[in-house]
Amino acid sequence: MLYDSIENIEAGLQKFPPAVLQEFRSTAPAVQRRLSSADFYLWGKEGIALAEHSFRSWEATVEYFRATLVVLRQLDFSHLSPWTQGGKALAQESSALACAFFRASAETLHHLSPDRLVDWALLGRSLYKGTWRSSSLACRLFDLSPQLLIQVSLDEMKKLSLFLDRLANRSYDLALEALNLAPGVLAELEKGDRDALYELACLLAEITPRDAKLCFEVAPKALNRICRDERRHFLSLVALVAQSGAQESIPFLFFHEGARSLGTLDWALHPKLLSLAEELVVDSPLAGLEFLKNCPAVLARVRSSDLEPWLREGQILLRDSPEAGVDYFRLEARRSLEVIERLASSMELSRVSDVLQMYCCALTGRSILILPTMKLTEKNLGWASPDSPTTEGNAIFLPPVINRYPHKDENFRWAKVAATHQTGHIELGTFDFSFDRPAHHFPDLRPSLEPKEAAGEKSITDFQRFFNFFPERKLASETFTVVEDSRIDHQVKEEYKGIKPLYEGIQRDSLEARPDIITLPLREAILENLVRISLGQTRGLAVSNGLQSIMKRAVHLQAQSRSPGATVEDSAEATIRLYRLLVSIPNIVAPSEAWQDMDLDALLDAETLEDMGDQNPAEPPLDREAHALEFTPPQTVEFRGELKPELVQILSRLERERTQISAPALQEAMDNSTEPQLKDKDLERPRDQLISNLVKEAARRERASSSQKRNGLDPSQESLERDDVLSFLYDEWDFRAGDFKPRWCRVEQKVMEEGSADFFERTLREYHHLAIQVKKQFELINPEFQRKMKKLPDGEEYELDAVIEAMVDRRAGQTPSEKIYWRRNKIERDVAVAFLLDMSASTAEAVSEMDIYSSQWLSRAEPPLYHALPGSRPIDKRIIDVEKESAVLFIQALETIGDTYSIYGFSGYSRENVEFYIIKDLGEPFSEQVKRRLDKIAPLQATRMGPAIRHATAKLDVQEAKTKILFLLSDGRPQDHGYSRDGVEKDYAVHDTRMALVEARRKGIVPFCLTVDRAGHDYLKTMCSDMGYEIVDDIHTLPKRLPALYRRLTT
Amino acid sequence: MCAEGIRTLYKEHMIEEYASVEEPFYIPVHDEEEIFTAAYTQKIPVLLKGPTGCGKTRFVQYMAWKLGRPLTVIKGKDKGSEHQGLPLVTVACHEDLTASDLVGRYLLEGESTRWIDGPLTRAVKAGAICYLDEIVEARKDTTVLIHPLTDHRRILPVEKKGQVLEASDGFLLVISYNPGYQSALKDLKHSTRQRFIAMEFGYPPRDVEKAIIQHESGVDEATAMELAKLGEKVRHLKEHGLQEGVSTRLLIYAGELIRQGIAPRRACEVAVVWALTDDSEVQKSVEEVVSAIFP
Ligand SMILES: Nc1ncnc2c1ncn2[C@@H]1O[C@H](COP(=O)(O)OP(=O)(O)OP(=O)(O)O)[C@@H](O)[C@H]1O
Ligand SMILES: [Mg+2]
Repeated sequence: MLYDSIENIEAGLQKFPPAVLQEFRSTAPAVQRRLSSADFYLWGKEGIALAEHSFRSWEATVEYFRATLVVLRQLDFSHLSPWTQGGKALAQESSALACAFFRASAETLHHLSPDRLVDWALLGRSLYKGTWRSSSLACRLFDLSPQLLIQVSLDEMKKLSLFLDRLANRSYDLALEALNLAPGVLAELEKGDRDALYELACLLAEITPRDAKLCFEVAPKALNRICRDERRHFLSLVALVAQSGAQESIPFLFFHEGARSLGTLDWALHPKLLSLAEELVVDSPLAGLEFLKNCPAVLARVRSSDLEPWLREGQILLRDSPEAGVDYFRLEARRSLEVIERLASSMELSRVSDVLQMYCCALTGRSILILPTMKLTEKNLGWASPDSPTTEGNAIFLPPVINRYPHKDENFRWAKVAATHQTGHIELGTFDFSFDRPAHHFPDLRPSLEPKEAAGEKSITDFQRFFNFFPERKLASETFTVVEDSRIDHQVKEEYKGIKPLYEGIQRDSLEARPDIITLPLREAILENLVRISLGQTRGLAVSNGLQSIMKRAVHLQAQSRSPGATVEDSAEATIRLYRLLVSIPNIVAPSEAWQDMDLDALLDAETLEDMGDQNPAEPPLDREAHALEFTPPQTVEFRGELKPELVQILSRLERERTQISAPALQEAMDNSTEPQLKDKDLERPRDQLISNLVKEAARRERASSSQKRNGLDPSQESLERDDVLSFLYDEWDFRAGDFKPRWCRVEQKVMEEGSADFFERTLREYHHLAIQVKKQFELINPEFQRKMKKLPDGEEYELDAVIEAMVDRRAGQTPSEKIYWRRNKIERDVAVAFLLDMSASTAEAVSEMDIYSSQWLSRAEPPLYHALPGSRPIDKRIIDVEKESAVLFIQALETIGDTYSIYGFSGYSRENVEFYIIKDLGEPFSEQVKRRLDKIAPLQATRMGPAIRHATAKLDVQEAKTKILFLLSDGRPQDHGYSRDGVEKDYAVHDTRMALVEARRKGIVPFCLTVDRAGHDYLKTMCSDMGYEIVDDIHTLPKRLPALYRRLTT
Repeated sequence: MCAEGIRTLYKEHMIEEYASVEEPFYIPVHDEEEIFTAAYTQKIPVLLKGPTGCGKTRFVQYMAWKLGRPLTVIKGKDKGSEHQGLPLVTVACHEDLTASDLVGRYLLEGESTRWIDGPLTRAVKAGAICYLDEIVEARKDTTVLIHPLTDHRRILPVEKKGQVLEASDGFLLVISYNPGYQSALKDLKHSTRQRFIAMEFGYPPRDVEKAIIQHESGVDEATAMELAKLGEKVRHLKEHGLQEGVSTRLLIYAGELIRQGIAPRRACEVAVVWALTDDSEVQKSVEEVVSAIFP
């Protein structure tokens, strides 16, 4: 059929669904105008041919017609034909493909030269494998082509599609996802990176397609974090990881997390780090991954040059045992941390806090805790800076890691000086400021400041009362800080001559970080000069023209407040005078030529200065200058940190007389306190929150100190308060790695809640006979037994054998031995025992009725009662109940004999939360309270024995008894979430428990395990092979067995 | 020359004749002198309590000297009036100290036996001050032994000889006791305790201690002051890592070493830090205190 007229063509199109003709009609007129009639007819004919090709290909025709107009704007007819042919060729494969092709053409042609149209069509075709899924992938490629070709050339798109093709071989879903992501991903990458990425992606696609897609997805984020020249190297490492048979997801994690951690580091380190990682990857991809992941943490502690020695150690371990090596790089091996510590330049506060604590305690004579700053900031009491040393009066807070100097020693010295400064505040009475106490070196202005009628009435602290007099409160309190800090530094150096050189060294170092004086507005400049002088600067101070005499006065005031014997009240007096000087000048910036260099000598020059502070201040010329700046406090001197005297006083006032302070007074105190973070939030909530935090903290302190008074305990024992939880970290033994996982488990120690004492009494009644029996047996144990010592040079009596021997010797002409006496030496019974009770959920299991009936000792002990009244006894007794009853009898036995003992319970869930309950602590007397706590023993969660044993061991270790025993009572094997290796190896728990017991034994403690698990033999053998253990087959014998065992152990 | 040198190498005294001729150096811290004198006059036994090295022994020596009589002539050798202290018998108690160690015992001599007096018996006879150091360390039967001596009877039964000795006039029993280290088990029985008046000794205040250190070790005042300061600071650590604060004795040792030219930090290290504790954490802390005080 000839198509040489519109009519003909329309007739030809008639046989297709009406949409075709419709599209033709709407396009045809415009097309006709653009083409010669021959071309136009050809166009129509191609459309018909396309539609005739297959059942659905009419759809392609629609797209074809529709696209033509737009396409024609960019193509002349010579190109139109290859385009059409390309589409037709696609239609032969799949009409959907052709549709997509035509549909995308118009847009695509904006970015593609017409002569590459065929290539483009072929590219799409190449993804088509004759299946429905492949066709949708190919279509999608066409659809996205315009977006892709904005970014990349067609040749590059070929690389992309090669990747997609490979991925599609494994999973069309992944390929489709990757394709959809492609425009976004490619847009954010540079050309070179993209090429490298295609390569890697192709490779991954074959080995581990999921990782390929994931890597592709995160590529921009990841790659852009890495030093430009190293990106290829990094990608090749990921390839290496994949090729060396790593598990699925490892390559991706390596890529993603590796890049993330590299991104946090200096790019200059990347080449080195990557080549180190490469070495590890060869041995173990996982180790390489862990290495990269943890690099930043390690580098926070050691210099980059020390990274390699650390790695080498791990490498040796890795070759020996892969698990151990991986743990090493995960920083989950004690060894690893030890090496870091050895190499580290930075100092972890936790490693020296004990030493510093004792140091500060020695200096002040008060038990001061040294804690990391976040312990204070997280309480939200008004202290917010995590890097500044500070104190709230009872404890000194220092940054958790100190890394200011290249050597650990220097960092320690910094910490020591910082701690000394804070103790200085405590020792030299900063917080004891009293409004009414006279100063030593100044006539007192304070009383004259206060209007008579207002004398101290509303303020809850002396500092508040004092600072309230200053219209510019912040200026006053900052001035006070400068003066007081300078007094403390000065007096500390006088009192402790040994630390003086060190202290001055740190002061000099802090001078380097000071801002340039002449850039500061006038008031701040004066304070800055004072700060610098207090840090030891003597030359190059800068004074603005015309302010020399004010500066001189200020310097004199500062010197006066540092005279021997000056107190905090002197600082306050100096503050008043300085404040008056400061408010007399505007806080404006002076031009740089208006400054004069001055030395301290010149400033101290004895030009007579009348004490101008003594006159009442003139109306402050505040805001006289239009461009006066708001006052900004001097930059913090880092080793001095933050001084918050008002808050400290509020806290201690609250602690002492909480009830006498009204809420409004407290609110006011907080409102006009100068804490900036309070000021700028004018919401009610934060302030109230803060107040309630302060009140809570004060209550906690009060409890702690009263319990301290009561028990004569140091504050580390304040845990004895019920709602206070103390936490302790313990290592855990990984038998596969052959090393401890450092600080792995957190033991939360709390005092058991109190129930009723009935339980105790009831048990004693119930086990009346047994109780008497046990008591008798224990009374028989002599608290001090005698041992006859023979052959002594001196003693109670002659020892017959020895005397005879001596006589014989003498007769025989030999020198007889003088050791012919014997004597009884008393050996006092000196035993401490910790009784550790398993409170895991499994102890809730009921002891079966059968067991009760078959119970041997019960029928022996109380047969008549039992047979007569079979129902009178609760038969739904649980394991825990029997454990508790045993504890009661045990206590009774121990009270008889007078041994030191404790009863602990443990349970918990996961390593983060091992709960350790004190029912009775060592050294705590037995009391009604203890009885009541016993009642509350109940089944809880899991059984992580290791840490509980370690904690009990630590408690026994500080006891001075000659014989120490750790008695573990459990109902089954150790089990907890994550108490295994990779969630499978149950032996892990058994081995850790064993190690904990071994550790106890090394400390001279006798461990003994008692279990009611009848299936216990297998693991107990491993756990306690060479230690004492026993399985109680019949749980009802436990109350009897326990005291008996104990007696055997200790006599 | 040589022979004389050998002769003077050591001095031997019978214990009840050993009395200071020179006044022992002692700085009274409180009213201890007054109290002790009164007790002595009234023949009331005295219990001295206090941590180690705080001057208890020195105090007893000093009081023994103080309470002595001026002697006009001693064995015709020395002329003029000289002060002669009371004899002082000191017994360090330990857990193996038996009653016979104090009272006396028979010794085998050839085929026969010979009795010898123990130190307590000798003191009772000579009218000396008998100082039983660390009494709680002794066995319980020993402590009972002193009961009749320490009440109005003032007698010492010598069981093995079947005798009772009346104490001579100048005799006084003084015991010392350091409440710090004993476990509850080793506490003094009340029947023993309540036969003595008790005097509490503590470490002297900074100024007094300074003077003591200065005198005893011969260091200059400033150094003595720093040592006294160190003492004060380290004592803060009692019960916070240290079982016992540093004694005046150790501080004097440190002073003596310094005087011999040892650098102060080093001297304190050996005389204070390491002498005090074996715990390396605590050592480090005390060292930090030392280095804060001594340049
Ligand atoms: N008040 C004092 N006056 C003079 N010297 C003193 C004084 N206090 C202590 N000393 C000095 O301290 C040293 C130790 O004192 P001393 O030997 O008397 O201690 P102590 O209390 O008996 O100790 P311990 O309980 O260990 O026997 C003495 O040598 C003495 O130099
Ligand atoms: Mg002594």
